[in-house]
Amino acid sequence: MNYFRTRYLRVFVVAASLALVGVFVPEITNAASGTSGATFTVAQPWGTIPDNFNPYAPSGSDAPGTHSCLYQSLYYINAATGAQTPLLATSYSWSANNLALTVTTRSGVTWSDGKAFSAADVAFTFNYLKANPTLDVNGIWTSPLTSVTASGANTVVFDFSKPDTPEAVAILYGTDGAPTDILPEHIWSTITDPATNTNTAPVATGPFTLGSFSGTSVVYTKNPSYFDSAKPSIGSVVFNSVDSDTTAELELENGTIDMSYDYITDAAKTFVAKNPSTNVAFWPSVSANYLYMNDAKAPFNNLAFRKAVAEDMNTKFIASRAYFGALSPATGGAESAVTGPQVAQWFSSSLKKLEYSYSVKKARATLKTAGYKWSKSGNLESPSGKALPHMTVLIGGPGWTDYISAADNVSNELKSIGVDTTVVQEPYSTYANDLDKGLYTFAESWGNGNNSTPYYQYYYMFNPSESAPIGKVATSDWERFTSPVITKALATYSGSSSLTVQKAAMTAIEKTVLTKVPLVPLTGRGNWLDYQTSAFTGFPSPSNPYNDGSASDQEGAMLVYLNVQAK
Amino acid sequence: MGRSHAVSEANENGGRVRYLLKRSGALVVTLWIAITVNFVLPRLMPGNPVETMFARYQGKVSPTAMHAMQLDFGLNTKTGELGQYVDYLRNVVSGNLGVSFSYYPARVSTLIGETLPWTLGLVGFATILAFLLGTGLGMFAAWRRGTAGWKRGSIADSGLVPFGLLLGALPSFWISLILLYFVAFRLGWFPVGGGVAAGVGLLTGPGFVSLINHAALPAITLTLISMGLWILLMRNNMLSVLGEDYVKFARSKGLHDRTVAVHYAARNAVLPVFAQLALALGIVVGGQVFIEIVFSYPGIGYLLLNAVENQDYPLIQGIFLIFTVALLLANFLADAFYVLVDPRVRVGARQ
Repeated sequence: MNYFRTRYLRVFVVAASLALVGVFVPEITNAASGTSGATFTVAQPWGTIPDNFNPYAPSGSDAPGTHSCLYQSLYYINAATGAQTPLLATSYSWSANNLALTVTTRSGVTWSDGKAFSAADVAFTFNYLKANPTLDVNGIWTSPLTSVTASGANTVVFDFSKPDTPEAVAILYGTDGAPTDILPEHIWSTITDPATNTNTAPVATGPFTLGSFSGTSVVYTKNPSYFDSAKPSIGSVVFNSVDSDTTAELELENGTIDMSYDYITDAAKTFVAKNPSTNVAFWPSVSANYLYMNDAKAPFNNLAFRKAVAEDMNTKFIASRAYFGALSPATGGAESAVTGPQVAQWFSSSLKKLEYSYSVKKARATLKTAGYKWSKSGNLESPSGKALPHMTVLIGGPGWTDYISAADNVSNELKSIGVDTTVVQEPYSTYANDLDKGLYTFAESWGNGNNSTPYYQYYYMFNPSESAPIGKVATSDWERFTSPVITKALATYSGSSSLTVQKAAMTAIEKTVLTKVPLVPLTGRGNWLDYQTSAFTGFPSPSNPYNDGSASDQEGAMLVYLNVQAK
Repeated sequence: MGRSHAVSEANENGGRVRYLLKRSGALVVTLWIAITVNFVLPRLMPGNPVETMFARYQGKVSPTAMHAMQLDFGLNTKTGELGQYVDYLRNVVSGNLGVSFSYYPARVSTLIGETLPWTLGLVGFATILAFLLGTGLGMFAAWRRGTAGWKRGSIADSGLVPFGLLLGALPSFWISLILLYFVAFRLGWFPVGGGVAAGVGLLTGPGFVSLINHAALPAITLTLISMGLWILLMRNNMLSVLGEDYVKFARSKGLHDRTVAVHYAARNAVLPVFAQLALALGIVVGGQVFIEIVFSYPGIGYLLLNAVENQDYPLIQGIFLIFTVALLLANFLADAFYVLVDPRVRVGARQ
């Protein structure tokens, strides 16, 4: 009797072959069957995909593609270059002493259910946001906007009680994270619970319509009635859910996906160099990383100390270590917190003489002039001879390797002026909470509200409405610095639609930033668009930056899906 | 055999019921403690979900959004902690796990419902496979040693024991990463992530093939990490059983070695191993979380990572609740099963 061999062995063989069956059966991977045109595949970086196509879903809990394939705003505005791409509008202008914004909407556009799009849909959308304040993520109705009315089929007028020209960006586009998408009135006028509506049968104007959905992927197929009959050239866009950057990088390298959005350590070496003819990391600088100082507290309430810290920072070295040469600090104007490509237009050359540059000697001299002393062991002491309080460099995380590297270098640089610090890494939420409430000394973080001109970042950085005393939540004035000069210049800028007036206002702010050093810009801050061109051409690139390196689920990516072509 | 004469049928049933009642009581108390810990833990984390959500955008949404989010989540109308606890208990009992913050307005139960089948499928398949392979190999090792035992030093045994120890000691994420890099990426035999190819129906032929292809590496990893335990357990039990008198008696009757190994020894040796099956679920579920993250497998571990990253309290609580209930129930069922098959437990309860 051969019991063991026959019966048990059979079980093992069956079980083992079940496990290995995948090796022998080739997988047929044609994602979107039944459509013509190539399939463009992207990694969806935020994990499990929610069954929600509401463009105004709170906290961005909509499925990827809702903003980049389906719904459109009036314009797309490139945060890096400030360039404006018309989508559902074709032009706009300010009139009546900047109290009226008139937008001309595009004609010949239809919703994906066949009904015609008109200015009435635009007016409806804005009035819908007013009626449902939870949807108004960009705070359009907290501005001096008083009414939005459609006149005729192609004109919408936005009336203001007080000039607020920067609001045009919120109206025309919104922000990368939360675009102001236009809704079809004939569908949404009957939706009374917009925050909880999951809109699983989306009707929109975009170049794609919803094909199929599962928790792990979404497929969008070409909208044959899209207003630009020449575009898109591809047949479908597929979003695959991944949850680790490693998976996205591997899939990009083996050609499973065409585009992804994540920071790759030393991308030039570890990603681009592996296949220089196809692999591209398009990382335009759209903002900056700052060394925040808690200006409401000693020793940061002393200008000389802040200035010395700024002079002591070797930002070139810090950027080279944190981003391996990808995001060096913008040259000229970088110290004034104007970022990347905006320097050329928004930084006056008359301010060049105010820029400080890296010099430990100068930093020590600045401190000495202000009366600071050093103890026998070389530690910096306040002018009254007291040891400085123990200080830390706060960063978020875990695993933000760029921040860890930058903070280590900051901490090192501070040693050369006798300031001893430790780097403290906190989980996301604690970090955010400490910045908001001013519970830190030094901290590294990003600028808020960055958009097509430096105004937005300055507004959130310095406007008194964004500030609060230590212990209370300051939404974005984390360094807790305000200045009457800046407040006035922000008001001048927002009250005007003249570029000359606006530039003068920016110069006043930049001058204050350069002389009062409320915070120290360390490095540029990029978007992390990675792609490989083995199957498609027409991606955005440094020589053709038609978007700002947006993530696959942001509206800027819609331009990619409109422009890429199969090879 | 002699014992069952001494214990009357009625007594035996009474002992069985009393034992199960005692275990049920313990189950309820443990569940309550677990649920309470589950409520308290996420609240010890500093910060609040709106700040986290906002920070997640890293400056890409204007700070005015925070106000809109707070209105949405009802976070500015705070009920006291005790009130929240009472609400929480009531909701758990009625099966209402609340609404997720990060997938708002999706219900936690819906999200768990979508991801749990992936995890159950993977865990179920891998556990059964690991059990079969592991106990088989364990039995084989012991049998070779046992029969040689008598001679000593079998290659199968001296190879399989260190192999089992090694498998049990390797962290799941390490095996996952190795397989991911070499088998999926370098060799390209399997997809590097995901659960099924985009846009194919699960019930179609290509869908099924794609499903198996995507599940293969996570399943192999899970099988490997849990197999070591079975090899060692089965081998040790088997060896001790092989030393029993009745095995010697069977052998001395002149029965074939294999008959003795399978019919006499293995059947008795596998009983305690079965009981371990429930306990092993703990290892499997823990390892599963890492494996799903490495392979971007759309199961509940992957959902848990999302939930923790976004401080999505209701979702974190819901998932932990599912884990806790599953493990406690598995243990309870193992106990109950044991009562049915092993008379010694019933007697123990009576005394």
